Amino acid sequence: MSCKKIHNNLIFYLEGELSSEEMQAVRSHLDDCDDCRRFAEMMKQQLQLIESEKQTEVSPYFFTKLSVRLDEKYEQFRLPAQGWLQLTTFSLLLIVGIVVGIYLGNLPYNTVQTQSVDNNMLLMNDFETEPIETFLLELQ
Amino acid sequence: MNEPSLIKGIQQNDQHAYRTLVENYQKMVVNTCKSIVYNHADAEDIAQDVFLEVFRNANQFRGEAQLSTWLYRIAINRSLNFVRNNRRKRFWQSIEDTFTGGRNNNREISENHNDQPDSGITDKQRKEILHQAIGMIPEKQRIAFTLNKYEDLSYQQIAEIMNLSLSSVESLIHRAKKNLQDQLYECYKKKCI
Repeated sequence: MSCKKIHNNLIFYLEGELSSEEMQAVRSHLDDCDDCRRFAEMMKQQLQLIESEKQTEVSPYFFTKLSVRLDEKYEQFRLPAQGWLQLTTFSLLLIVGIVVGIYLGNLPYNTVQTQSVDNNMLLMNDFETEPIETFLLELQ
Repeated sequence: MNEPSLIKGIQQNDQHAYRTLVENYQKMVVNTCKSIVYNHADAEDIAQDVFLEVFRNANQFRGEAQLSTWLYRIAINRSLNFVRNNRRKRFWQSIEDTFTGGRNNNREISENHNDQPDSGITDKQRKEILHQAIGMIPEKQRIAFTLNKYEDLSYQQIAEIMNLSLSSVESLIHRAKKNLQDQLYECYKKKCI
């Protein structure tokens, strides 16, 4: 068996997945070939690493951490509803504010303003009855 | 608590059912995630996401497959997404390093070994080589191989999880082993160990 054929089948040899004749052929090749033997040894060690990585211990606080995150998730689910409620309330308040503003602006405020403007106009017209020249002469 | 009543409990937001599910399956889920992302802390974080997804979508579980099959599928999908995102981050990191003079070059490597402070450097190197070699295997082959080697699942169970025929799984694992062997041979030729 050639080295190339060995390299193609080595992993299956190490996993015991070849026929008994093929297993025997690979074994006898490895006895004679240093290079293939070294590669087989390297690959065997690498595959054994998988076995050593299988054992995993989970943190004892795994469920506690998960519970905290679960509560946070529920908070997140609730937040959009709260957000909509806030938005609706704010919009309603804004609309009510605008309507009340328009109502107040249209009725009593205009009347008061017109009257005060008329009074000012009357005061302005007083200058006609008492010209500024007369007023200045009186001061002197 | 048997599986149907466990599912029913989760669907009704029963805290006892939540705890039972986590206690029964946490090791399996963390192991599956770790066999794909190769970091214990990351695997636990992903496993938590897996359980949160299960709690959130429990009503969609119709009981056609086993609960463990469903958990495996979610764990695999989430772990693969994590790996893809990490690859994308590393790609952008390498671009950033090109412009910043590579100040952050060793950050990820050191972070990857945070969970194994006592292991020797040779062991670390060997594991890194193994992970890199497995990482080079095409995705479907890698998942089938990982479930078989790390989780000791039968070809039939893998076929159910991956929604494939038995012969497809056999073929995937056979090709995965060949690819792994090729990757390790490349490494051997370069005297990487």
